[in-house]
Amino acid sequence: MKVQKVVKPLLSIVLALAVGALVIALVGENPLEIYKAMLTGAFGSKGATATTLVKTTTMIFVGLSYGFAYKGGLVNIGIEGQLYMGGLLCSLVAIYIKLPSAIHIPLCLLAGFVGGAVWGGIVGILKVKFKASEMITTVMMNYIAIYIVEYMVNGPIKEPKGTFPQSEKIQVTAQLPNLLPKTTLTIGIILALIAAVIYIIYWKYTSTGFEIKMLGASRDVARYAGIRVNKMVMISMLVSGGLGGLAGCMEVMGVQHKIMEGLTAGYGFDGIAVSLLGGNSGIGILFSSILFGALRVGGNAIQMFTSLPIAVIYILQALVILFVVVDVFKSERRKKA
Amino acid sequence: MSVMLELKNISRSFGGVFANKDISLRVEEGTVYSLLGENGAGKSTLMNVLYGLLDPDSGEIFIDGQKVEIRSPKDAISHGIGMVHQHFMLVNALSVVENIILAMDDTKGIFIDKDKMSKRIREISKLYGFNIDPDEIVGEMSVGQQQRVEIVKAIYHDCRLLILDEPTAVLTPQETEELYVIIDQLRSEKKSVIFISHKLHEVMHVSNMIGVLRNGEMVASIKKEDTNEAELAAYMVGKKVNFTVEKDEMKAGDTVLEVSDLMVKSHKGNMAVNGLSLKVRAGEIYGVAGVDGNGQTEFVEAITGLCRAEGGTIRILGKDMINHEPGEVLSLGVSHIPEDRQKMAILMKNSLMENMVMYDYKKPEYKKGPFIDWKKEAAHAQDIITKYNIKAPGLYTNIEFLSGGNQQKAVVARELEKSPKLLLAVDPTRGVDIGAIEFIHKEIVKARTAGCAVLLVSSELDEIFALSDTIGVIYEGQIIGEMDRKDATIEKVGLYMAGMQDKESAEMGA
Amino acid sequence: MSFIRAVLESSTSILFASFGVLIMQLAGVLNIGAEGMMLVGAFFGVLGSSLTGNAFIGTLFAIAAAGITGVLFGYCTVIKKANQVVVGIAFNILASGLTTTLYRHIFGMKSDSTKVVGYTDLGPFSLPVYLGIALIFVLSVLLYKTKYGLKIRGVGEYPMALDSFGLSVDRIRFLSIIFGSMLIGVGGAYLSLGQLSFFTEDMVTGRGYIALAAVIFGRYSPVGTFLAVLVFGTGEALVYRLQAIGSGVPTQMILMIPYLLTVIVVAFFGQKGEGPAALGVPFFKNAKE
Repeated sequence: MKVQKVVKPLLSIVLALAVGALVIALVGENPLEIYKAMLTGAFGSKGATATTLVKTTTMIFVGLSYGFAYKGGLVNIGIEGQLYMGGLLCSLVAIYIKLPSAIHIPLCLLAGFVGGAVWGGIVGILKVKFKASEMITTVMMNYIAIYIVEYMVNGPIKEPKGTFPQSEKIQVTAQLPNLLPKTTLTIGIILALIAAVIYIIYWKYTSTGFEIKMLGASRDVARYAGIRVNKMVMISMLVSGGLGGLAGCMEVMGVQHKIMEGLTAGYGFDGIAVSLLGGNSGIGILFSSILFGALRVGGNAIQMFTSLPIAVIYILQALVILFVVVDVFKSERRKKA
Repeated sequence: MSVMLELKNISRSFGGVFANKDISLRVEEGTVYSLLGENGAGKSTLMNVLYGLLDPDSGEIFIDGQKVEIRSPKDAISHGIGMVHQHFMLVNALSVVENIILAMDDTKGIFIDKDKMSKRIREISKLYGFNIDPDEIVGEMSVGQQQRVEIVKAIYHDCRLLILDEPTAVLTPQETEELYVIIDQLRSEKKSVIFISHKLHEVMHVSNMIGVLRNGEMVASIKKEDTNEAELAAYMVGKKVNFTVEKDEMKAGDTVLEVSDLMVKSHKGNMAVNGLSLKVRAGEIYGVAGVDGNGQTEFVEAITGLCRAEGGTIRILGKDMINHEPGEVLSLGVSHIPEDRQKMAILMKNSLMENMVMYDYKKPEYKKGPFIDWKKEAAHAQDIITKYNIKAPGLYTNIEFLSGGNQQKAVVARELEKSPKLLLAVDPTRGVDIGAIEFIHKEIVKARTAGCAVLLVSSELDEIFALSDTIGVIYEGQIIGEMDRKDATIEKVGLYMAGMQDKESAEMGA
Repeated sequence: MSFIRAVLESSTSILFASFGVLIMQLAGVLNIGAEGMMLVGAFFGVLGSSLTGNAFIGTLFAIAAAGITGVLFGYCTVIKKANQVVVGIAFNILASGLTTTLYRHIFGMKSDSTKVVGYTDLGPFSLPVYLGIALIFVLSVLLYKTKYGLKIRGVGEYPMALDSFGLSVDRIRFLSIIFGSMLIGVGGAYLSLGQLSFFTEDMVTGRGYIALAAVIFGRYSPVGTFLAVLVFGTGEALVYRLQAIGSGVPTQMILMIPYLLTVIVVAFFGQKGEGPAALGVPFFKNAKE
């Protein structure tokens, strides 16, 4: 069983790369060259690896976000929106409040968590009170969040001079301290690792973790056992949203140092791939995040140096998801036996 | 009379275990052949082979003396075999005629011709005294009516042999009587019937021939006139059945569960529980007897808080507990063995251990600080497993790999280990082998002797009679007859189950 | 009158998509990937149209491409029985990546400069608008008066019954996925060829999800779906109107309207109980008892 847990994801990656190669060839590029360029872009130098780790930071948070909801049986496709709202609230605190670093940074993180949590919580309330399917509501909330942020950065919080739709730079005290000099790597990666550890501990050792997992396994059994189902759904969406919000914080506080249109390039959906490939487990998510972080950075590289757009990585991403959930080699036809 | 159907040496196994071993039988035209056996004896497997849902490992099927191959329900139907399954093969959202059109699978043409089919449905309906409206939506019909639609469906296909799989499990006593009439009509039409059941008195009533299956083998094939219920029971079980359990005199204490005028709606919207009142005291086993479908499910779910009650009161240990959260009810010391363990009581894909400790994770003695102490939990689970002799490959194997009997034992063990003050046991030995049945019965009696109040709901009268101190009969959502076990007889209880509660029946049993 | 025209224009693409989703949902297949299928239809519609100068042939390209997508989707969900929601999301991501990559490759770096040949008009509206409305009747007849429709509805409610009748549940579902995805493809083609006259990356912007919401809101009937789509179409037309007028309301708040509307609709009308009973549940032939 344990061996299968590692082989299956690896196989999915290999198959995805294989099919992806076909597509790349179809548009007239050499797949091996392209993959080599991606690899170099992601790990070719100290700076590249650092950039990859920066992206990995965000990936870890969105992956944990999807995984957390998934354990409770919820499909959170709204991570993108939670990321934006978390990023928004975080940036407001980061730009307009003056505090010493030691307090400012935790406060900004908290704001980001709250922003994302509220956004996820709305979906939770709709599900609990109205039985509204979280699949549709989360996607709609994504668009709403994007528009809210767009409005804000084109209006109320737009930087006074300049024409781009973005906010002012956040205070220096809110910026995540650098971890590796001459790179963009911040302590964000440490925070992400801490979050992953907490995630692992939560599921293995806490009672609410146990309860949420039971709910995810069977709603009927959870009710029978006396678990407060609605409470668990709310906790799932709040925490999942909060984790998405923290991903937003990473972008605002660690990478961009401001908030703007297009804060993410679809990182919320990366979270789905990250978590699925990692089997929704903490360790799996960590490894998977590195892969997808590398994919992002590598994708940027090929966009800059080849004729291919970064959209190619979406193809790879989707293929990975499909090969994880679709058992290509096992015959699903139950014979009359 | 000619032999319409003959099965010769049918064998079928699953994963090395024989479900059917070398079974042979003959059904004559215009007769009823009852297939009797406990749950798990192999009746359904045999019928699935006959109906083309399963391929046999070996053996042959003969229709009117000719050998036939039946590879799918379509084949079976073409040879004149029809089947009414326990779970009806009907689409509830569609109408009767629409269901039959689908069943006919006639590929000629694009458009559906309702008129022609409706006419034939009405013809068949009239012949058998049914009252079926072809345009009625199946989901809105009573269960008895739905069963009739299934029969009409089979007759529409010109079936000559009709297989009825546990047909009375879902019928009220009146509907069962009506079914007997239908079977007689089928007989007079020279159609044959295979009647599958585990209920002895029904089988004795309706059959011409009886075949008894036990552990996958045909252990007896006799004419009804040549046998009786006791003999059949012995064949079914393989030994003289002991219908009683050793237990001491009841020492009843205070009232633990008090239900008054309870009203609960069913999924379909009608009042499944319609003014139900009863009391269960500490140290008492109160057995609720009744045909499935008279409100038992809704009643128990209302007590546990799993479904809404529309009116009445439920008092547990003196506290008003109607429409509270299940967690609150459980915390008063209530344990629940539900009728469908796989749906409700266990997580199939989780380990045996995790299923055992489902309630412990909050208790301080199993925690190390804020965290769950899995070592202690595992030790506790191991204790329970040893104490209750649950056979499993290992503590950490998924519970889905345990046999049904051991799964049920695990549930019973878990629920009793809580030392409950009130135990709700619904069909606690359904789908469980004889050895486990005796064990579970003993444990329930042990709990009762220790002062637990037990509400036992079962469709098996034998179980009710074996365990109860007090028997109450549920009929159409009410307790219409209540008596001490000393005063109870099968006839008396049976009459109440049929809905009769006149003076005569009360005098008869006295 | 021009407002009505705007509403119908906005509605038509979603209408075709909704009908495609409706057929699949009634058969019990949950299609979150409608968004991706629309995008595929939109791209290939433009491709076909620019290659041949004919919108009709462009639409055929779209139908073919969406149909192939449907075959793949059917393979994953019906034959391989994978989780329909996750597969749907993956298809959306895949469609986005594929269409963008192909678009850049074929049309170059210009992002929306491809001028396309649109549909011919018949009176005040373009041809597909009429077809869309005609579909209401065609689908109603198909679903309630033909054998195929009966099979589709049966398979979505209680597939085990149909299996016992000797019908192939998988085949019925697979066929309805292909048919449905082709309709969705037409919806996408109308978006790029009829409503907007260009292709741009990720141009569907949520309409595929709105199509899903419309089916639920419309209580899974052709007429209901049409009315639901009109509501969303009105919302979208209102957006353009308000923008054109230059009302004081910020653009983004206006753009939000369709999505906000969907959330409200799903919240108050999205009770899962109304849909087909077997929706989203893969069917396994149970051969043991």
